[in-house]
Amino acid sequence: MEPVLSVRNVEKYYGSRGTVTKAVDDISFTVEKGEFVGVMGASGSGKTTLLNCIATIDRVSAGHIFVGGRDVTALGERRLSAFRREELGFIFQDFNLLDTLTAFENIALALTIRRVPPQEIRVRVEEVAQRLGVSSALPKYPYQLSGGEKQRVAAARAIAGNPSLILADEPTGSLDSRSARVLLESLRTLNTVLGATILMVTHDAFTASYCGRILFIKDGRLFSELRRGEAGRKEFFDRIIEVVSLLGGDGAHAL
Amino acid sequence: MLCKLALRNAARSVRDFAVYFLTLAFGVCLFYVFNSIDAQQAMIALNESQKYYVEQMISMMTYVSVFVAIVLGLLVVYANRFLMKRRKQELGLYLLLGMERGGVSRILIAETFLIGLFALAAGLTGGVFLSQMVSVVTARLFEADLTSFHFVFSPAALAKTALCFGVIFAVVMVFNTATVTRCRLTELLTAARRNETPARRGRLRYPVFFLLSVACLATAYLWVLQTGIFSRDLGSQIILGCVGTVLFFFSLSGLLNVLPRLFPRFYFRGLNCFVLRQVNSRVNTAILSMSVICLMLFLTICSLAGGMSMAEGFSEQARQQYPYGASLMYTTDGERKPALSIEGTLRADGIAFDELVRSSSQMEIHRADARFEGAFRFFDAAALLYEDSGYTAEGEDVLAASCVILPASQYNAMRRLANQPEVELGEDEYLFWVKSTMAQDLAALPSSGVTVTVEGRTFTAAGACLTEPFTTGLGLGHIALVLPDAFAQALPVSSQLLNVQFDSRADGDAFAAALAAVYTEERAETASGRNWRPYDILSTQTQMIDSSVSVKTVILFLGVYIGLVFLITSAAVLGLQQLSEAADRAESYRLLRRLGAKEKAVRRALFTQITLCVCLPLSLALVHAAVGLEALRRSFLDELPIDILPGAAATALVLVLIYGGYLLATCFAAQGIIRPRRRG
Repeated sequence: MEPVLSVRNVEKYYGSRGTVTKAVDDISFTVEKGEFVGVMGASGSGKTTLLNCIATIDRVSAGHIFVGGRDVTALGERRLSAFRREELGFIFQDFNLLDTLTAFENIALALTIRRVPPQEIRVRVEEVAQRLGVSSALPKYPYQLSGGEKQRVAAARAIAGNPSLILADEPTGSLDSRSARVLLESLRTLNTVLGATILMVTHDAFTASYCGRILFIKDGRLFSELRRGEAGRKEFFDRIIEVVSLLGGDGAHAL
Repeated sequence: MLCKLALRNAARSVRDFAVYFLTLAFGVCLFYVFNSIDAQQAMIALNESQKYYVEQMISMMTYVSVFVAIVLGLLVVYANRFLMKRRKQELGLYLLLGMERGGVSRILIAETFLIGLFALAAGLTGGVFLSQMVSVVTARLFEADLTSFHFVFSPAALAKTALCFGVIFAVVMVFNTATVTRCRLTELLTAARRNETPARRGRLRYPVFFLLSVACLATAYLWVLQTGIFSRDLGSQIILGCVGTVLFFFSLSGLLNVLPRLFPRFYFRGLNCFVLRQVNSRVNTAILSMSVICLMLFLTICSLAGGMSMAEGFSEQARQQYPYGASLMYTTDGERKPALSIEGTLRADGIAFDELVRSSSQMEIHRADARFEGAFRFFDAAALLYEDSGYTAEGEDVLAASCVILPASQYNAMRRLANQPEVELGEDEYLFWVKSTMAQDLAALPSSGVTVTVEGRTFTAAGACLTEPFTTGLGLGHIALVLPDAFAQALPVSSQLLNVQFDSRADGDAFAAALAAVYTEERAETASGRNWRPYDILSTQTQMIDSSVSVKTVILFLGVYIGLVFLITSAAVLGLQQLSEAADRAESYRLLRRLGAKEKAVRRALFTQITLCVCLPLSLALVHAAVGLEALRRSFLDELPIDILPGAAATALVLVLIYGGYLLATCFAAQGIIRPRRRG
């Protein structure tokens, strides 16, 4: 079966001649359908840049990225918005909810942009909200919600359009541990029950331990890969910590 | 230290301060110019009757000036509030770092004082120079003698402006101090992240407020339509209108909330829901500024359309009142029999008649006693009107008067000269002419059924009253009779009238100059009696129009000028608001793109949002203005028939050009602000 995401020899440079910074340096990997993949690395390791390239927010300097068999690096600006609309769902660290819209409308927006018929919208929004446990939050405005609720609303918005790939950038970064756990449980449910494919960037080992597979990045290169297999979350967490301490630097922070 | 901090703050948020500063300076400038108008009018030589109009105008100005002061005060408080909101986090930080509230207040007061002082200075300087320009332009407009030009400075206007803005600044300082001392720290710190105003204040209240606003506006509308704009109640009507306007925008912000439930299909399509929510949030936070801008636009439209319509009305009236390039009259009496025609004498005296005059016509004016008999009401009205001008009522439906008699063929020649249709008169018929200013009172009365007896011969009416003047600016009584040639010409001649038409205004001036050159003072002294020139009175169209239109043109000019300044102010404020809004919301638009909204759709969402925000106050202002202009028209009904439509059309054009121009500029600038930053 064709992988949902295939990253091939992607490179990304910043800066001009002379002072070139290689944020992403020749990275290749694939993500199969129904996988929950984490990308870990210290601050400045290039993980967010990589995610931005996959999200088509940033352009690669070299290499190719295939999503659902389509080379997104070759798409023009006009095709890109259609691509984002149809294939991707985003969850951001700072939630990125529109504060003039209610939670319901925030989720609905992802659908109206996809031109879902208005009569279907209510049903679908309520369905995803229930799945993420934020039904009671729907009529509220973002400023009336807690951080955890906001992030689950954002997650609901990300999955509302049935994207083939959900991209999450430090989704627990602004949450306390309890809210983080609730969110991660929700993401895992999405992954296991609905078969959603998720690519999550994080520097936090606890967050990463919910994934099925973890890619470690150091200085823009793929450092190692860890598969959970049949291991429990706790056991997987310990293995992650080992790799993180090998990576150096960020381990103390993760604990 | 505090002062340094205040200055550095100002420098740091220079863009925000620029908005505030410009608003202030603009307001000061406008206010000064407005209040120095009575000092400016001294530049234009005015006669007694004109002074009366100007005094009336100034008393009206005082009302408007109070209104303007309130409007500007609100605008400044708003601009300040806008600034404060953007700086709450910064102020919170000071408090968090341990600065005392008193210290923070002092920073704010220092800032307000500094900015206020600079704005006042800049605005006054601008105002003084602008008022000079206005004076010069006004003087040009009247072709007034600019040799008497002097630099006009109105200390009264300066004092008024300084006092008014002093009070406004004091209010702003109190407002700011209250914000700092009464606000909780957490509110200050999270201000940036807070959704501006929770949009839920009880659903029931909005419809109630909406009805209340409609009631307020309807009352104000009907009231002002009834009383006209010169009544003592104008103040109350304005206040009622203002309250209604504020309530309208207040309730509108609630009504926008109901929209999704009423039109889900429309609401949940594309970015509609986003756009409407943005607009709603705008209206919600900007109730006051939207109301103020709406009222300013209302004033703009009324000034522009009203001013232009009145001017058009005046010049139309002038054209009708003075149909000939010039009128010359020679009064005859027992000893002074006219030997020659006036034209003939002028030619004989060396006036280059053929070169200057396009066409001319002479009429012999006769005078005789006439007896009107018939419809009672006609005589009643006529007798009442002319009670003290030699008319006597004999019994209930008989009126005797010494009356000007015009021979039909010569009268028709005069009508031809003025491009008016000729009249037809039978052998025993008469036509009644009445001065046009009286026409409204008499035109409605039946002239048929009234018989006229002159020298024992009785005539019946051939048609309705004639009102077109047959001279330019010469008084020949209020009424006249047009009678068949054969009969009229047998009557004694009381005067001769020569009307001439010119090709151009320059020819008319040259004609008057030529006459003045030939018929000099010396000639008057050497010639015997009154026969030194073939006319007693010369009256030219230029002369008449200039003197009658001047005051009215002042009104026009001020109307247009005030209107334009208000229009530009409100458009600028709206534009700046939208820009800062776009800057605040740049993140939202970025998010829309990430969610996969097309660039075109995002741009359309931005444009729609700006257009709606800009057009909401405009649409209510249009309704206000329609009523206001109708009230204006009604107020002038007796003195001046105003046709509002051409003025309104011209105003619409100005609105589209200036307001539309601002709207477009705002849209493109905002698009620049939210444009995605390309990296790599």
